[in-house]
Amino acid sequence: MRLTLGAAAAGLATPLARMGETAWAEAPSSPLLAVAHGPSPAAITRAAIDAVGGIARFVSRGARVVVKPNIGWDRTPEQAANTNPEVVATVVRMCLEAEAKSVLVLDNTCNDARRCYLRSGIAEAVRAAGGTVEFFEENRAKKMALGGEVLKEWAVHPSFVEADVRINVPIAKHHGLANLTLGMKNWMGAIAGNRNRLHQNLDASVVDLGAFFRPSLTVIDGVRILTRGGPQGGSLADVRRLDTVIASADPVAAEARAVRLHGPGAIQPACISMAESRGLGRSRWDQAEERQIEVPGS
Amino acid sequence: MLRKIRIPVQLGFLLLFLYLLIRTLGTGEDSLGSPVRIFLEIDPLVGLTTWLRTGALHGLLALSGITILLSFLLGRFFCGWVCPLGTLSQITARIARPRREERTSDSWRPSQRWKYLVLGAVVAGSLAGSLWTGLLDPLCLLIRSLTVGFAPPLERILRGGAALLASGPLGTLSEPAYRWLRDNTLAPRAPSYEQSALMASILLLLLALSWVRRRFWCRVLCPLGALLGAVARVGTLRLRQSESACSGCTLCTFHCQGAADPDRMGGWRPSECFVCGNCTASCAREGLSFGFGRPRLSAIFPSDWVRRTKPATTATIGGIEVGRRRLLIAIGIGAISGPIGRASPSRGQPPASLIRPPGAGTEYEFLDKCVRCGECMKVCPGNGLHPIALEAGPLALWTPALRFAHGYCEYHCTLCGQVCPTGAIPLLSQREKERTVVGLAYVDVPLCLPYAYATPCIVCEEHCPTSPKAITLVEAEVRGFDGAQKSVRQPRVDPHLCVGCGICEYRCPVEGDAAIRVYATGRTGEGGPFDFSLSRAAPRGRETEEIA
Repeated sequence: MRLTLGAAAAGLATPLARMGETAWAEAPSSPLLAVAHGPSPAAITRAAIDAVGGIARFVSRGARVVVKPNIGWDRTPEQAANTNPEVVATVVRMCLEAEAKSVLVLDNTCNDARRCYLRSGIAEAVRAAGGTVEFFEENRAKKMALGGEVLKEWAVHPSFVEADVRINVPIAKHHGLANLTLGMKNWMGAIAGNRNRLHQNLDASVVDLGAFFRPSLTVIDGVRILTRGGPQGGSLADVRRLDTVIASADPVAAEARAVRLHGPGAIQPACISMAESRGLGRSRWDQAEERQIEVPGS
Repeated sequence: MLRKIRIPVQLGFLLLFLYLLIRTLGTGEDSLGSPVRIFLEIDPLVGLTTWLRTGALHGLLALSGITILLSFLLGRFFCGWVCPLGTLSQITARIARPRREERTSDSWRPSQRWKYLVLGAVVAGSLAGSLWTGLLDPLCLLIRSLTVGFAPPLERILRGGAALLASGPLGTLSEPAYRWLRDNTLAPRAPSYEQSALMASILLLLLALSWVRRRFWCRVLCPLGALLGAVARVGTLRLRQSESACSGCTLCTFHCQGAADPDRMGGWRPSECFVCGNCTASCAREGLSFGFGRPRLSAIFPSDWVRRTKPATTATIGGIEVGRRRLLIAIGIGAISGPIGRASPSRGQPPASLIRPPGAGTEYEFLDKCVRCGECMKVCPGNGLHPIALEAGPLALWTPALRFAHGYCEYHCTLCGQVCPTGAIPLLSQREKERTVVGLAYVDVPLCLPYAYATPCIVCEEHCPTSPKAITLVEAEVRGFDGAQKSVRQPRVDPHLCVGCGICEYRCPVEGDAAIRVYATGRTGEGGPFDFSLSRAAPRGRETEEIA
C-alpha cells in the first residue's frame, strides 16, 4: 500500500517538477515582447517569434512540444472565433525547424471537435506543416493537483503536462464574461470535466490555469479580432482585421499587450493584474522592451 | 457448390453492413459522402409500409423493388445470403449446436406461420395509421440495437482498455492499434444513449432464440422474411428433388436453415427456403438441385384458403397455411393499433419536453415515416438524439428525440437528414437547417446562477450559436448574499432568434435540471397550444452571415 502511494506521489511530482524547469526565462538580449504587423499571417508570426529570441530559445533539439491554439468553435478563420490556422501552422513549422521531436496540437472544443478542427482550417494547416493533430480524449485526462487558489485539483490532459515545451497560441477576441479572452483563458481547452463551472470565478480560475501550465512562449493571434459577440462570433460585422501577431516569453505581458489591440477604451481583464501579483509576469514595461516590426507584403 | 459461394457472400454482406454502420459517423465535413443507409433502402418492408402509410416512396426506397423482383426469381435469397441479422442468427445457432451433435429432425413446424401474422399486422397497421415497421424489421432492429445497445459499451471497453495498456509494457503495441481504431471508427466523444441496456437485451434475446431453434427469428418471427417468403411462394425458384436418388436419410432437412422440408417429395416449401444450398451440398447422392419453373401465380393466396376447391394442386406448395381466422385477427389487431395509438397523447400533442429532430414536421407526419432505425442516433455528432420510451404514446416508441441532458443539436450540422432512409427527418440544406426551429429555450430563473444567486455566469450566452445570439445578457443590479448591491449580467432568450438547438441546456453548469431548458415551442411545421410561429415569423434583426 505504501508502495502504491509512493508511486502515485512520484507520478504527480515528476510532471510538476518538469514544468518548473521549463518555465519561461528572459534572455537578456531579447525584448520582452514583439508586435509584428503585416498582410501575411505566417510572415508576421515568424517575425514576432524571431524578434523575441527565435524559436531555438524556447525549443531545443529533441523537445516534445505541445501547441495550444483555440479551436473551440465550428467557425471559419474569417469569423475570428478560433486561432488563425496560418499562425498555428507557422509556430508548428518553426518548432520542427528547431528540430523538435514532435509537435502536438490539440484543444478541448466546445462544438463538435471534428467540425471545429476542420472548419477552423487548423487541422489541415498543422498537418501540412508536419505537426500532429489529435482530438482531446476526455477519458485520457487525469486528475491532477493544480495547486491553485480556487482550482485545487482538476482533470488535465496528460499531453500538456508530459510535453517539454508548451506554446500558447490564443486569439485576441471579445468574451461575454471575461470581457476579453486573450491568453490564460485558452488553457481551459487543456482540461476536462465540467469546465463551465469555472465561469463562476473565471478570473481566479484562469490565473490558476496560467500558473499551472506556464507556457514557454505565448503567441497571440491578432490577424482578425472579434470585437463583439464573442467568444463564438458568427457575424463578419463583428470582425476587425488587424494583421498583427504578438509574441512573448512572458504570458502576462503578451496578454496585456493584446488588450490594446481592442482600442484605447478596452478594459483590462482582472486576470492580468491577478496574474502579475502572483508573479506570473509583468503587465507594464518600458517602450524600449517592446519591439515593433512591420512586415510588408511581397 | 451454391453453399461454397454463399458463405463468403454472406460474410461479405455482414462486413459491409458493419462497415456502413461504422461509417455512419460525421467527419466534420458538411456531407457524409457515403451511402450508409443502402441496406435500409433495399429493404422492401421499409419501402412497402412507408409507401402504404404516406403514399410515396422516399429517396432510394424504390430500390427495394429490386429486392422484390429478385426474390420472385430467386426466392428468399435475401434471408440466406444478405440479411446481417440472419447471418448473426445463423452464427449463434452454429455456436449453440455444434455439428457433432446427434442428428435430429428439423422439419417445418406450425410456429413458422406466426411471421405471416406479424406481417399481416404490420401491413394492416401501416394502412390504418400506425407504422410498426421499425420495431420488428430486422435491419432497423439490428442498426438500432447495435448503435444504442452495443456500440457504447464496446467503445468504453476499447477506450478504457487502451488507456490501461498504454502505460504498461504493451503500450508500444496497443497504442498504434488503438489510435487507428479511434481515428477510423470512433467519434471524439464516446456516445451514450437512453434505453441502451434494453436495446442490447432485445438483440441478445432474439439471437439467443437460435439456441431454442436454429434461426428462430428468421423462421418464426421476421416480418421481412414473411414478405419475401410470400413473394418466393409465387415466384420461379424450384427445388428439383430426385425421387430415385433419395435414400430417405433426411440429411438435407437436418442441414436446412429455413426448415423448408427439402426431403419431402413435392413438399418443399419455397416460402421457407433461404436458398442457402445446404441441402444440395449435403445430399450424398446429388438428388437435389435448384432450378426455375413457371411462376405459381395461383399460389397467391394461402393454400388453406384454396384447399377447399383445389386440394390436390395447392397442398404441394405449402408454407403459409396461417388460417383465415388467425390472419384476420392479426390484420384486425394491426388495423386497430392505429386508432388506439392515436388516442394518446390526446390531439396528437406530445409533451412539450419532447424535441423532435430538425425539420421533422408535425408529430403525425413524423410518426408516419419514422422506422426507428437509429441511423440518426448513430450519426448525431452532439449525441443529442436518443430513442424515447412511451412518453409520447405507443406509436412513438423508440423514435428519436433530442435529449439535452446528454447532448445537443450541432447548429451547422445536417447529418440526421442525410442518413434518414424515409425522409422522416428531411434533408435540409445548411441554411435551411440553421433556420429550422425545434424548440425554444426558457431560463429557469429560480435556478439560474445570475438570477438566483447573483453569481456571474454566461455559459449559455457563450455557446449560443445563432448570429445575432438568441441569448443576450442584460445588466441587472442585484443584492448579493453579503447584502451589497452588485451588477450581474443575466441571460435572456429572444424567441425570434432561438432555434432550440439545446447547447445552452447541455452546457449549463447548474447540476441536475439545467437552469435553461428547451421545450418544443413553435417548432417549424408544428401548430398547437405551444405555437410561437406567428411571433417567430416577424423579421429577424440580422441574417446569419454564412461563409462557404
